[in-house]
Amino acid sequence: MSIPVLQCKNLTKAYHKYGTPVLSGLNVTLPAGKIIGLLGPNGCGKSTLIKLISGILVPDGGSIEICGQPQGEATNALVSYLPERPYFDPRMSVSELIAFFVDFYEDFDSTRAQKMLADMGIDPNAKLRTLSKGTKEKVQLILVMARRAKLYLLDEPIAGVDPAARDYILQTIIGNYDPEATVLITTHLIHDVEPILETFAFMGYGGQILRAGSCDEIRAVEGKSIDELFREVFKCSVNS
Amino acid sequence: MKKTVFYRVLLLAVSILLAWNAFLLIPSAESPDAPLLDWSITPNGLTLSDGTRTFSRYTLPTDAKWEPILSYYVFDAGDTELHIKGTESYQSARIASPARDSEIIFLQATYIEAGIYVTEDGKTALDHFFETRENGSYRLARGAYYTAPIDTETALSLGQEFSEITETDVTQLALLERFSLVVYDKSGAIQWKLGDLYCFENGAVGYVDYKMLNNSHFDAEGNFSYRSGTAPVILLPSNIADTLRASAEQIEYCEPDYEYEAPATPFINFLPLFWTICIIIGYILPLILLLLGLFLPRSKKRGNPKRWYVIAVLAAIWIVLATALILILL
Amino acid sequence: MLRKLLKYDMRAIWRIWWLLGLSAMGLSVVGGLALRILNNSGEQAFPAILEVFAGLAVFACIMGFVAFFIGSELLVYYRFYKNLFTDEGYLTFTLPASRAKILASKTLNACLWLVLSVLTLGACLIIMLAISGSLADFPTFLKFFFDGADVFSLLYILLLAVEGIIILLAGSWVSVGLVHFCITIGAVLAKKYKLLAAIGIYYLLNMVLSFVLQAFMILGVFATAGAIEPLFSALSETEIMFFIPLLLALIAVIVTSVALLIHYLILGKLERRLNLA
Repeated sequence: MSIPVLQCKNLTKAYHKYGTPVLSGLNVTLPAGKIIGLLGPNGCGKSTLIKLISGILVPDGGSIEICGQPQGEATNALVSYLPERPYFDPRMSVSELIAFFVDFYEDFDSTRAQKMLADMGIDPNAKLRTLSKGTKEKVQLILVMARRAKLYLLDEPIAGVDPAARDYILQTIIGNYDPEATVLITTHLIHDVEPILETFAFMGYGGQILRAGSCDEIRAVEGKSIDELFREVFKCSVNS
Repeated sequence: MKKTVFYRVLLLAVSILLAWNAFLLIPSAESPDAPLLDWSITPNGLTLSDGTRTFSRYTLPTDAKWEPILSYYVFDAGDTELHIKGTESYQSARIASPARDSEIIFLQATYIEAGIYVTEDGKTALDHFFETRENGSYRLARGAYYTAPIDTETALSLGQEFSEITETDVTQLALLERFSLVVYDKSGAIQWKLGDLYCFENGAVGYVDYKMLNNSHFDAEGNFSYRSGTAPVILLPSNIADTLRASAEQIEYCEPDYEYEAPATPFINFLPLFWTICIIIGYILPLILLLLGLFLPRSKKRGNPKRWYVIAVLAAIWIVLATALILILL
Repeated sequence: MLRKLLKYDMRAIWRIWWLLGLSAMGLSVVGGLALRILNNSGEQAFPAILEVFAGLAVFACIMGFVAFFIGSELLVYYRFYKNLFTDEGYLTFTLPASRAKILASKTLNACLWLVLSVLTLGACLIIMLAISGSLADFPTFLKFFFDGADVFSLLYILLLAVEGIIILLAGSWVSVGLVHFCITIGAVLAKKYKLLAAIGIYYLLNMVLSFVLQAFMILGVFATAGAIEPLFSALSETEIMFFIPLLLALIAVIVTSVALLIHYLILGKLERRLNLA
């Protein structure tokens, strides 16, 4: 039996000592080689889970294992994380960023990165601060997808982007990820992301997984799209 | 607390450190052994008392003075309250002595002329010294604090009758290199100038013995006068001259050491405070770090023991260095 | 990994620092010339207005040095803040490096730039004094200082110098650590106004430390007068010879322990309480 790429056990996280926990005893296991959508309303804890897995946040309780190893220095080398906001030094140029990624990540494929930049018509010598918001996000995506990681964490990759760019980003994700790796996408724009998803998980408030499964199965058995199912699940939770 | 070997050893170490703390603090809190002295003087300045002993003013010969050669003792850090007997008034005085329990006292006060006061035994000893120079130690002196010892035999030989005595113009003597022959009493505090030695250009040494002089040879302050007149100069034999020249080469700066008596009253004794600060910085603080460094790795909450063991090692080195420094000071 | 982190940290500071350093050097040349005019104003008759400008130039030069030093420090600390507590933290904390290594890199970076800034300031002062002609007697002074010194006394001076350097380096680590600690606590306590909170905490901490230090110094003066002087005057020359290096070693250990403690406190906060939202 292959080791799951991600295993979270009894994960708990609260932002304030006496506040309501954002995640409370969450158990998640992600298999390798899947594109998974982590879907849920705003503030339910999707980004928090992503940040815990990537190492930005430290859990208050529970454990996280990536490819069988506890979250830490070694697993950061296996995880490629795309946050929802720009996170590079704007004074750096695109080529300097590529050199930075080459330096720190052994799995970074600079040839692929250069090709993607050329495809998108981005000048490698341009400084980030001279690029538009959309182009900056494309650069971030290229750098993340140019890695041969085991787990890709994409936090709201298409939020705040125009529809044409969204399609391009989704195609880039599909066209460049390692088939043996897992891609975990968090978004509330389910309709746009649905075509590329293989598996889904609905996360409710308190970080509980309300429903999870294969997208094809839902479409085949229940005859609904994931978007429709989402509205049904979360409409019910509002009315109940 | 669990009764494991680790905790027992830790408890023992803490107990030893606290005992060491107490050991350092207790002696430093003791006050000095010296009894209280209550200095008083009669209005005519002739009789001085320290509360137990009585001293009478002693008139030194003209060429004798209070000039300690090696060390002396100063009462009350140099500022003694001197009670004028029969009145309510006090004077600030500097009272010194060759040693704390000496028979000789030197007093300097604003309205009392500086002088020597002695007990009965002290008077007898000084009288005997000035008559016979017995047990005196001889030195050659050039100005204040520049002296060199000479042996008694050579010094005494200068007093013998020599055939060659020349009356020499004192203004010529003023141009020559000179130094004085002085003798100290057994306390080493009273200096008596016996005469002056002059080095002539031809290598000869002449001696002017103050016993052979009269008042006309001295000025108003009692110093040998080089203004006018003549003085009898004894031309010393060459062997004595050579010995004296050799001794004069050894003249070097020799300022006496003095010891203050710490006042029995009211300044705060800072030694306990000093040692307390040393204990806090040298032991308490590193002990806290040592305990943290040993306990925290065992705690589930604070991980990474290596980090805390480093602190524990540094704390241990800290304690060792502090101990070494305190041992040097003690 | 630590080397790589340090490389990028130093490169990021160098981008702007070289300009500051060059400006300081340029100012030192100007200041040196101005000082030369002022030094020679007795021998040569310069117009009064030139002397006034020369005086102002020297003052501006000194202010420039202060600005250079403060600017360098602010540059380094701002990098620490930006890299860890703003959006750039998403990159920093997802690098394949432990938080201990990240903090070690930032600390080392800050200490290195502090030392470099001090050395640059020293060089600027030497340039200024050399141009003004005030250093003519320095070789004679050095010769006088070392004349007659045997191997043992030179080794002893070397030992004291090494201990002094260790104390200075550990001291710079403490000073850097305190600022990092304040920035970290500010970021942990105040989600919205992290920098303001950091400045407030730094100001408060400095006030408390100054108070404690002043109280200690006043006590120390009294204790010295009443207690220490008699103790030290009783020490022989050999005892003093051992006492001084041991005392310096103790100070070095104390300062290093304080630096490590601050370092571990920051690490504790970064590892457990930091919530980069």
